[in-house]
Amino acid sequence: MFPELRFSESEIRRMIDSATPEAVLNSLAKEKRNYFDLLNLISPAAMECLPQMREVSRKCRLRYYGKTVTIYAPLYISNSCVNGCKYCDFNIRHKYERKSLTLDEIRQEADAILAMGIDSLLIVAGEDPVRMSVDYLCEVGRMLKEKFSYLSLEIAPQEEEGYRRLFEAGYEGLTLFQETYNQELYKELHPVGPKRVYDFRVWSQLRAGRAGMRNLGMAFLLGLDEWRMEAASLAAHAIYLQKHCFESKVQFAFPRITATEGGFQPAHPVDDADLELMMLAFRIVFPECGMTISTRENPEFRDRMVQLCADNMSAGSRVTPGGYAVLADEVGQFTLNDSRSVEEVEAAIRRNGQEVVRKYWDRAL
Amino acid sequence: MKDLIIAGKKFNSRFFLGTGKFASKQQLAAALEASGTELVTTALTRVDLAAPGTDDILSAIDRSKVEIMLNTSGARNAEEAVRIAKLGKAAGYNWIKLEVHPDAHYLLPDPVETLKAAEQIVGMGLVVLPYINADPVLARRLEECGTAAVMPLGAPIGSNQGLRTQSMLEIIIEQSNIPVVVDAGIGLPSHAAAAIELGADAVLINTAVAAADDPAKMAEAFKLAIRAAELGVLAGPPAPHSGASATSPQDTFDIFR
Repeated sequence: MFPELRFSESEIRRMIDSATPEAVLNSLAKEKRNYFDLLNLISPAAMECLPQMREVSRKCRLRYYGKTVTIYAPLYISNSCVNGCKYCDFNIRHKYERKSLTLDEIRQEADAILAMGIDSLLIVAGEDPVRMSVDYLCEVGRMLKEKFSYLSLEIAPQEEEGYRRLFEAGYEGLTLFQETYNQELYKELHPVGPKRVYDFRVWSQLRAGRAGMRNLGMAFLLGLDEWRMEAASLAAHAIYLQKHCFESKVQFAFPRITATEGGFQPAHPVDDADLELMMLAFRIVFPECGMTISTRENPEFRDRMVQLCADNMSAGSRVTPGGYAVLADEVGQFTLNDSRSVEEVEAAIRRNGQEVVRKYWDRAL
Repeated sequence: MKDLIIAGKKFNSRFFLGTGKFASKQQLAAALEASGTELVTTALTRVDLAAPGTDDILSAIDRSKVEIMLNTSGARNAEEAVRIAKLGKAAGYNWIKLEVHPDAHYLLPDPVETLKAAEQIVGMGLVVLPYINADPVLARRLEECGTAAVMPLGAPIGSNQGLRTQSMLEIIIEQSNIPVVVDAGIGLPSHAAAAIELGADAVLINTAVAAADDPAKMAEAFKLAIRAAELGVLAGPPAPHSGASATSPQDTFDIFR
């Protein structure tokens, strides 16, 4: 569980399991909701109230985010990785040729993404302290800042000073998945590499917030452990960050893990109804926080969630380094279920009565 | 009720409109038309000043009818707000809605940094309308430094809760020598009317219109409510008092006759 959570696993489990449909409806009726409302809203009892939850969530989303959807694209700059995460295709034990893009290749990729009409970028890299050093990432940031309005990072955890330098180089936000909040399971799934250290990873957003990062993205990998317990930790972590980094906005993602090249099978698969319930619950309890609908989901699900709860989505994504312009057919981090172009994603958003917002930040800031 | 004049410009409508959260350029344009507004605000973060006309917000606004007030939304401190104001000025935008909100979740304005930024941006010769918490002393300080108006919030932005800060708004309105625009928190036409009846010079609304099922109809509803409240104030309403007062005086029925 999230280390600062003051309830034991069994207490949390009891609270979730004892929630009744009446308690769920009471939580939905409140004007301001708290942690215990979240436990009600992710409970098995909440499944009966899914239609009501959809309506409350839709209203929360409308109030804070209006009828707009922000779009971005991920730019994978390296699949080189020193970690051995059992569920990931970038795992050091998978033998295939790794690719780390040069500055020139990154520029080519960036120009291809710009040509698609994308103005916000998420830079993604595996953990490789040599090829993907803070110095190099800063150089990449300074170059891309000239082209895009908004840059954020999904990279290995850094020290606070590293985050500060990255912020100054032009990155405004950070996305970092804890993978699992279950400390025993975490050890088991991360047998080698610097990632073994749970604590260094779990306090990353706190360090990034202190270093000035405006947006703190967080998630666990859906499928590794029981999702309700993980969600209880995620919510506690989010509240902790809100209390300690009031100048940074918390953003949630809900990435479902799929079977990998190496044959990893998720032990606790999360089905569509569970995923929807969890996303609605987080939107209702954290109405002002950002929420991304994962690139891993299929178009129908993504289009529906972006109306009910999520405010941000990727479009035209490639999850291989060099996938936009430089090369093709490399090993991606995971399997994409939405292969639509930016135009197709945008057309779907508009068809659903929402406006696409390509620019939602400014490099002057 | 005095005419609404801000920085020497007379406004016929006391309804200012924000341009975020709309479903399309067409919906925004329709709401602008229905509102009768003459002053709108747009975030620098949403527009591309270097390539005007390429985005959906600026191209929906007819600048011959409507003044655009660029806002500094996203700024966490005075330095960032000043940077945006400079970019705006360079692109020909002289009206700045100053917003400094380090609080990432409720977007509450920072009084210290707002005052600091206001001093600098006023010094650049721009028309500054600062978004503030309903703090009467801060309102006075901003007036002293030369802002064109003050814009206290009625409730947290986007919350549609109405005039939760009413007691402080009353003091700001009582003491201010510059226009007071209630900004943020207004969710219904009746809230806007209440603000005007309280003595506010204007209201600024965004979410309540943009997030409505029919934004143009809601814009019209606000226009009518604001105009009704304005007429009511101009008509000189009788003061409320605790006793009853019959509409047809009954002294013709003198029982002692």
